[in-house]
Order: sequence, then structure tokens, then C-alpha cells
Amino acid sequence: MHKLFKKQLEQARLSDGTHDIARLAELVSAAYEESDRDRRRTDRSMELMIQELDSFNLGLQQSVDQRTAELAIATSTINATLSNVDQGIVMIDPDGRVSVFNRRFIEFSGLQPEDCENKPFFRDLVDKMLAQGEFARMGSEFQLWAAKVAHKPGNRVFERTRPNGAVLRVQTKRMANGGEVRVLSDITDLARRRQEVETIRRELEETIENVSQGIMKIGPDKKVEFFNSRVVELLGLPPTLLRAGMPFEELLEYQIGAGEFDNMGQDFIEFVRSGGVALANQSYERRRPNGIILDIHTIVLPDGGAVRTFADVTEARSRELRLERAEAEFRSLFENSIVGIYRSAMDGTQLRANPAFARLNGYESEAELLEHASSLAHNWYVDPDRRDEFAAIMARDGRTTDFVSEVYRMKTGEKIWISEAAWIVRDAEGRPLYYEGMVIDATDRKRAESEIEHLALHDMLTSLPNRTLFLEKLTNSIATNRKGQEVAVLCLDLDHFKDVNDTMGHDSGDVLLRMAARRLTRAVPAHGMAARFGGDEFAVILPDLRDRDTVVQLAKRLVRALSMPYRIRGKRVFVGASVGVAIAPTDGNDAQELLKKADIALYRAKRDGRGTYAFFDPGMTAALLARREVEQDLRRAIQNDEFVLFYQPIIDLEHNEPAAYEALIRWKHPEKGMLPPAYFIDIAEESGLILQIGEIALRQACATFAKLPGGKQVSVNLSPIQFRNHQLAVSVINALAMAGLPPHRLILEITESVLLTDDTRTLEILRQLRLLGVQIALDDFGIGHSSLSYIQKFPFDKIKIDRSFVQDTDDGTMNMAIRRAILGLGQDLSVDVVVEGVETTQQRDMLIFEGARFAQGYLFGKPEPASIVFGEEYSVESMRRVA
Amino acid sequence: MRTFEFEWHAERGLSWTGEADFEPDLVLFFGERATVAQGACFRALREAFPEARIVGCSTGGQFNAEVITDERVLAVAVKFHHARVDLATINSSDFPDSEACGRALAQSLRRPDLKAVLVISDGLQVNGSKLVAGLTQGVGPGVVVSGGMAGDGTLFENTIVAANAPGCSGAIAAIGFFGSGFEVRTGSAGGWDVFGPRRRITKSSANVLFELDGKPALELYERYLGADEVRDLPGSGLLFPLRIDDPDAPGNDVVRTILAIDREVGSMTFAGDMPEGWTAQLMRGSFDRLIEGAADAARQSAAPEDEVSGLSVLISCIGRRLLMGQRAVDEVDAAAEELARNHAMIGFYSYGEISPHSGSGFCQLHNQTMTVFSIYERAARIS
Repeated sequence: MHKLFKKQLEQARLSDGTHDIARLAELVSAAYEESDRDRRRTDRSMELMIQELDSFNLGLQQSVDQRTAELAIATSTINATLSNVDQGIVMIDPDGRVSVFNRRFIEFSGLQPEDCENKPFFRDLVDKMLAQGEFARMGSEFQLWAAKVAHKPGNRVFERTRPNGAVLRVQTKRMANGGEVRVLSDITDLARRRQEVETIRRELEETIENVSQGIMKIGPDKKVEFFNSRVVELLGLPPTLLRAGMPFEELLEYQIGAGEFDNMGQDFIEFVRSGGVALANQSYERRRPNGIILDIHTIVLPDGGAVRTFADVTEARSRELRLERAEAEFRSLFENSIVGIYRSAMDGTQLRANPAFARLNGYESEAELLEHASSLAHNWYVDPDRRDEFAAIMARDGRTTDFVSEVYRMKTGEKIWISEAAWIVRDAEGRPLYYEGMVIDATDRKRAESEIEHLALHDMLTSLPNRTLFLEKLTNSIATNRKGQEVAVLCLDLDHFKDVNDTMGHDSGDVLLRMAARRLTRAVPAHGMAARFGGDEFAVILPDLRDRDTVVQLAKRLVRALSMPYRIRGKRVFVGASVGVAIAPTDGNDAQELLKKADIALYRAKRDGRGTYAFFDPGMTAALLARREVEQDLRRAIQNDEFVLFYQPIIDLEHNEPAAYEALIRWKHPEKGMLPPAYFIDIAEESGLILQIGEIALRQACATFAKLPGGKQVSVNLSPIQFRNHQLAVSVINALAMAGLPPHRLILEITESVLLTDDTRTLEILRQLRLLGVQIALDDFGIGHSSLSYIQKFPFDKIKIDRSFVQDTDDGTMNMAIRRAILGLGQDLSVDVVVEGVETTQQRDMLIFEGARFAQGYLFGKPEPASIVFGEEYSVESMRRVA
Repeated sequence: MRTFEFEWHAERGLSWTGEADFEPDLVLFFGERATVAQGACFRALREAFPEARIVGCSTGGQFNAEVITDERVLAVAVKFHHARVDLATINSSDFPDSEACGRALAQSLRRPDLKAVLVISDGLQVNGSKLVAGLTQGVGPGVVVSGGMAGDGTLFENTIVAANAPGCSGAIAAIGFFGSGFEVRTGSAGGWDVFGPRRRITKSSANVLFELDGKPALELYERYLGADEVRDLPGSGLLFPLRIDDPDAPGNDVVRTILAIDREVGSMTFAGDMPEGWTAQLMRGSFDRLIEGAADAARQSAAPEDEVSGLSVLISCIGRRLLMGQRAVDEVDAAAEELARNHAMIGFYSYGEISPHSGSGFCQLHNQTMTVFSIYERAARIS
């Protein structure tokens, strides 16, 4: 019985054990109903499932159709692709036959299309390729492999080179069905590039290995990827420590352990430990314990790795240090130099200036200079053309030294002189970059130079132009006055100026000259010139002369001006002036000639009686000219020491030996030979030169006799002119003192004329001399104004009877009487008398007879040089040497 | 463990004959709503078992190995040798939502030696999915959670839960099993077959479904059902539940029964959440397959051979009973055959089953399943 039905029976059973049929029927019916519904639902669900299935199938069919269509497109696409791809493709079916191939495969295999059609065995194709030499370039091993293995399906990749050099990559892939796909790619370019890359890589490696820097690459995993041996060297690492793949930290730990960073401080070590050095782009230097300085750069790469370079900069740093020191030294020189140093652009823009240069321009500092005077090019030089000259020299020579210019002190505008040394600084190609130069203040030098120049052309004492400048001006004036105008040349000298010098001293003489120069300057018109030639010689130019009267007026004015009394040291001093005039072009056009003619005119004026003027006159005698010449010669002779003394003995008749010698002067003229006094004494007296000549004679005589043994006396003649000199006594004393001659050995001979003028003063001098012990002789007694009163006036030590009283003449009796009278007078007055001009023994005998004690004349000896009279050692030359 | 199965009848009272030394820890009873709500039954039980924790609920019919009944109240009394029992009770109206209810129950039961929780909940006022979520989250992993939602026949009006008190609606009872020396096994299976395409839930709100694959869900559903069944909706909907699954976590598939439809808005209300984004697939049941499902669930919770005593609580979906009609007895028989004959067995038809998923083990609210909660103890002397 059905289990459900059993339950239904139970449910329908009544308490009496019978069944409620209606209830049972209801239950059974319901059960049927439920079963039906279950079936219907099942049916419905089946129906739904079928619907689902149908719709699914429909979708599937559509899908299949769509896919089929797509496949067709894909297939044609693939076919098109196959024939157009760059790769050669061949598919081999499980039987080893070629099922698909493309154009490229034919191309890459060296086969013909018909070889591949009709599904040939791939093995046969390989054999054919072998036979055709397709693998010839691959060597026998490859060919053997090709013959035996290559055609079999497998997963391989190999490359081969075709006979034409093309490189193929062949990739084979075994398919699930046992077949194979083989793809051939032309990688000729790739292979070439690979080769190139390999070459580059090798070169890079070599380069990296050979650079002076250490290079290390650290990977993103903080491991050393590669490094060059320089790293090991620079870091002083053990040869085997560093290796690729080594954690960078390990290297750092080694370095820390080895004390590598001990000199860098704990902070640095912590920094290193923290990995800081490898994490960021950075550069730093550190000194290794062995003193090497490393410049270390880290560059972080985008992938987190880093490249680190190490460079030994020890030498560079030391060089820098040296450079710094040198720079500091040069800077110090630059800063402290008292020479101005600058640098300027070619256009003159100031670039640098040292303090001295700034100061030169009146500024405190370089900055102030550059601020206020950015360019000195065109407004610096007082003469703007100087800048162009400077640039021209620089362009031509590249440098200049002592380029002296007048410039403005920029701040004050004051004019100063500078001397520049400058040069062009060029770049490596030789292009000018800028000027550099040194500048010194040449103002003082310039002033000194102009002073020297002034001195060269001016007289120091009076500041008047000197002869040189005068001649220059005269020459110029003559040259520029050719158009009919005349030029007057005036020569002046001061009358009696020498007296001032002699009596008041040279200082006073100088004062007088300066005063005279001032008067002269004031008297001469502005366009003229006054000059001093030396001593009391002056000259004046008067150009643009319109008429002679102007000159006359000027000459008179000059005489008058110069003759006014001078007040010197509280004394009134009188000197006169004489003027000689020559006129160009009348008297010549040569400056020297004009000057000479003016001088002659002056000479004439002086001869005419001083204090006046004279024009040059061609009628002036040749004698005058000759005298003038002699005078000029004498001046030279004094300078050149051309005078010598001849000595003539004075015989003591009693002992028949020389008692003394008379010194007689001679002029040893370089052209005219030995000249007697008659040739020049007059002129010497006239010109006053006799003073100097007399002094020479005194000194020479004293010097010679001081050396001469035997205590003999020397007798020296004095000119009346010499007595005008108040210094005569001083001169005598000087000559004696210098020679060391006792005064009593010197006899001074004077003529009567000495006593004619101003005898009181003359007598005073004579007395002074006599007090010294010097003997005084009266020469040429008996002629001229000779007067016995003179003998009375002065106690002469000797009287010399003129030679005319000895000569045998018509008037012999008269001479003998006078002679005997004088000799008698001498005896009476106890004055030695010397008879001159004794030439014969008769004359001598007569004189001895007459009681004469001393005689002089050719009989006893002619005047002769000291070397002859006294021996060679007394020659003038020897005496000079001794002196 | 000692167990006694008995009945209560409004006129005849308890069928309990009594035993002097038997003081059960736990008494379970199931009956139709009017009976449970009345309170007479509970008072009788309390009188008989003053110390026991007494838990019961209204159902869609209750059963044991012998019978499926609507009129009689079926009960079982249990005395454990090892397991200790505690009871947590709340009323869902005291909490903002069902998840909070679950957390509150878990809070009062959570102790280190808590092994399993059997939860009996109001079947209409509580969102079972949320309750389970709160509860499982609260007790933590390793604690077995099982149980069911009270029923109201085919009326779907009001459900009653009694927990140590006369029954009331909105109540939730959670029985905790503590200690060691016992084992809890659960089983859950439906026996439903899926058919048709898998669709995506594109619009829903909690347990209300609006759209599948962007189309009105009801329209789609009715097309599948066919004219006959559509006429009988929503009752006929019980026969065609949906299986839903989370595509992001496959294997957690659950069955959802239709509770109501709204033709105006084209929506369908299910006995559990219908999360957007999950997939849904139509199911159908045939008597044989459902019976097989019940047997499968019982097998999952069947005792190891050496267990000497045990109690199985079977909770089957009201939909299954409605579908199978008189054949429902076959389901109970099939399940009973899988369980040991000397072990106690009691069950009821519910508005939702709570059980760890047979595949994932993750506790969920199920529909249309047979769910079995079995507890086994070894003999006292053995332990």
C-alpha cells in the first residue's frame, strides 16, 4: 500500500475503527490534485526550461553565425596579413607537411613558390635549402644540425645568416596537434644595431673603466650594480671587497669600520648610516684619512637607483688654494699699490679700478669711481685727441708705456699729469677683450721736467732766458721778420760790476745782477726778450722794429734804468751800463753774427767812455776787432791756464851770483805760440782781466820759489789796475800761504804810475804788504813821471833803474850821471838798487865801478822757463803736479 | 542528556506523565498562533517545570517523527549532563533595528565557553537577515548560530514568541549552550532546482525587489510563472523562490521566498534582503527533490556513531509545506530516517530559517530550506 494512502487511511479512520469514506475520498482527491499541480508545475518548469533553452539555442545560433562571419573576415584578414607581414611564416601539419606559408617565407628560404605548393614535406624543403647553399654561411655544424634536427617540430629560437648577409631570427613553436609554426624575422638591422650597441657598450665599459673618476651604480634595491676599478682605488678598498650585487650598506659599514669617516665627525657617520647619502641628489667633498680629497656626487635615478661618482680633487683643491693665495697676493698688490691700476672695456667703460686709481681721480673707493665716472674715455683727457692717440697706439702696438697726458681728476676737475702704461688683454683667439693699465701721477715729474727745461734755457740766477733760448728766439724773430721789419739785437754789460763783486763780495754781486735783470725785464717791451749770458753780460731782442729811433730810445732807457743806484745790504751802489746794437737785416741775418756785431758795438761803446750806447758800424777797425778777439782769447786762456812764468836772474855783483829772479809772464797761446806781455797786457788791463792774470802770476811764482832751495827771492810785477782791487793784500797773503813761501822772499815790483792815481789808498795797501814782510820794488825808475817824491812817499826796499840808463846811447853821459845819482841815492837811503838791461861785461864792469850792487840783463841770463833756470823738476807741469 | 517529548492540548492538557528525578534545563514548545498567544500552555509548562527555561513560538505547523499537526502543541524537555543553558530575551520594539537586537542578545550571552546559540524570533516584525548579522557579529566566530522565525500558518498576520513568559509578538529568544562535553551540529538544505538565466538585482530596498536586469521584476516573474500560477499569487510564489548570490563572494547563495507582491509598483516583497548587485535565479521545487533536500539537511547534522544522546530541532519553511501538501510528511519522514531513532526530535514550519551555510559555514537567514539544529552529549560516565 502506498505510504501516503496509509496516512490517508489513518486520517480517515474513525474512533470505532471504521473509515470515513467521504473524508478519505477528500484526502485522496486532494492528493491527486496536489500531484497534478506538481506535475503541472513540473511541466511548466520544463516548458520554461525549453523556452530558455530555445532562446539560448537561438542566441547560440546567432552567435555561431556571427562568429562564422567573423571568422571568415578574420581568415581573410589573416591571409592578407600573412602575405603582408614582415615575417616569413610557415605552418607544418602533424604529418610534417607544409600547410601554410607566405610570400616572405619564400623570400627568406631562397625557395620558389612552387616548391611549397601541394603540401610538400618540410624536411624536403630543408634539404633543398641545404642543397642550394642557403646555410652556407652558417658553418658545417649548423648544416649538420639543419639536416638532422631542424625540420623536426619543437620550440626553438635561433638566428642564421643568409648567403646575402641578411640575418634571420627563426622561431618555431610546436602546436598542440603535433604540428609546428615557424616564424622567420629579418633582424638584419636589429643585429647590426645589436652589434653597434655591443660596441658602444664595450666602449662605454672601457671608457668608464678608464675615466679618472670612480663610478658606481647602486640599484633601487640599494645594491651595488656596477663600479669601475677607480672606485676601489680612490676609496682604498681591499681588491676583493667590492662586488656587484653587494648591499651598498655593507660597503658603508666596512668604511665606517675601517675609520674612513673618522675625520668627518660622528654626525656624518650617523648620516651615512641612516642611508642619507644614497637617497638624494647631492654633492659633497670629503677628505680621506690618507689626505686625498674626494668630490662625491650622487644622482638619483627615476627607478630609485643612484649613480655615484668619486673624483680625486686633491690636486685641484691644492691648486685652488695656491690660486687663492696667489690671488690674495695679487689682490693685495692691487689694493695696496700706490700705482693706479685699472681695467676698462675697449669703449672706455671702467670695469675695475684699484684704490690708488680711485684716489688719483679724487674718489674714495672703486665703487664711488665706477658710480660717478663709469667711463673715462672721452672726458678724462684734457686734450680730447689724447684718447684717440691712445687708442691708435694700442691698436698699433698692443701696448704703451709712459704715455704721458694731462687729465682731469674726475671728482674735482683739477688738472693733473699722468703717465700711463697700458696693454690690451686678448682672449684665446686673440680678440681684444679690454684694456688694462697702470697710472701714476706724473704731475711732479712733469713739473720737474719743465723746470729742467726752464733751467736749460734760463739763467739760474736771474731766471732770464739764457744764450741758447736767446739765440733761438733771435733766429725765429729773424725768420719771421723777413717782410721788411727789422730786428734789433742789443748787448749790454754793467760798467764797474767787477768792482762790486770785488769789494762787496759775490753775494752782493748776485743781488745786483738780479736787480739789474728785473730792471731790464721791465724796460724791454713784451714782444722783446731780455737774456743773461753770464757775468754781467746781458742781451735784448727787439723784434718788429719800425724805426731806429725805437732802438735808440730803448738803448737810452736801458742805460738809464741800469745806471740808477742800487741799494744792496743798506748801501747805495752805482754801476753804469753800456749798450751795443746791431740790426737785422742791415748787419746780417745770422743770429750769431748779429750777436757778435752787437758785442763789437758794445766794445766800442765802452771804449768810447762807458755809460753810453753804440750802433754797429762796418767802419769799426779791424784792430778793434782784433783787440776784442784778444780779450776773448784771454778769457779763455785764464780758464785754460795758458800762462807761464819765465825767470831772469838778478845778480849780486859783489858775489857774482843770483840774488833773486824776476818772474816774467808769458802766454803760451795754443795757436800763436809763446806770446810776450806786450801782446796782451794792455788789453788785459783794459778789460780788467789783469786782476786774474796777476793773481796767477803771484801764485805760480810763490809756489815755484817755495820749493826752490837756497832762500833766493822772486820778484813779481804788479799792474796799477791790481791796486784798484781792495783784495790785493788778501791775494798776496793767500798766494804766500798756499805756497808756504816766507813773505821776505817775495818782491812786488810796481811802476810809478801806480802811485799816480789815488796814492793814499795805494800807499796803504803797500804798507800793509810791507808789514807782512813782503819787499816792494819801484820798477822802471828814471823814466816817465818819475819823481823823487815817490821815494819819499814810500820806503821802497828796491829801486830798479830802467834799462835805458845802461844802454850806450848818444846821450851816454847824461844816462851815466842820472844812473850814478840814483845809485848814490840808494846808498844814502839804504835802498837796494838794481840796474836793468846789462848786456855786456863793459857795462857790468862800469856798474861795479860805480858801486852798483845788483844787476839784471842778458849778460847774466835771459828770461827762461823754470825748467831751464832751475831744472826740469821746476817746470810748470811739475809744479802743477806737486800742487 | 535526558529528553522527554510530549504534547499539550487545550482540553486534555499536558500528555506529560512525569518523572520524579527529572528536572529539565530547557523546554521547547511549538503551536499555532492562537494557542501560544493564549498563555494557558505556558502556564501549564511552567507549573510542570518550575526551574526550566521555557521557550516556544507560533508556527505554520509543528511536527515530530510521528506527526505533522496544526492543532496540537508539541513540546520537548531536556536535561543536559554537560551543557549549561542560558536564555536571553528581548523585544524588538525596544531596539532601533534588528541588527541592534542581534547585538544585544549576543552581548548578554557572550562568555568564553559559549558554544552555540539557538534563536527563536518573531517572524514578521524582525528582519531576520539583520538579526543574524548582529548576532553572529556579537558572539564572534566559532559560535554556532541556528534557529528560525516564528510562523502564523498561511496568514502572515502576527507571530508570537514565548520565552520564560507567556508569548507576545516582537519577542526574540536566544538560548545559549555553554561548556564542553557536548557537540552541536547543524544542517541546511532546500532541494530546490535553479533554472533559467542568472539575472542581476538592479534595484531593491532591503527585502523589496523592484528590478532585475533593469526590468520590472514582477513582470519578469509572472512571465515565468504562467497564467495559472499568476492567478494564485502571492501564495503560488512560495513555489517559485529565487536563489540569490553575491557575485563578489560566490558560494553564499541563499533562497528567498516571496511574501507579497505589489502590482501597482511592480515590486515583490521577500522573506529576506535582496541586496542590489547580487544575482538572482528562478528556482522550482518538485516533491521528490524537496524531500531529498530535507534528508540532506538531516544528514548534515546527524550524530557521530558513538553519541549516546541527542536532540534535533528541525525548522522547515512554510513554503515547503504549502507546496508539498500531504506529501510534507514524506519530508519529515525522510529527515527523521537520517537521524538516530533513539534521539529526541521536534520541528516546526517557519517564516525563515537561521543556519550556517552548508557551503561557506557563514550563518545566514534562509528561506525554503529544511534547517536542523542537533545537540549531542556523551554519557555522563564517559565524560
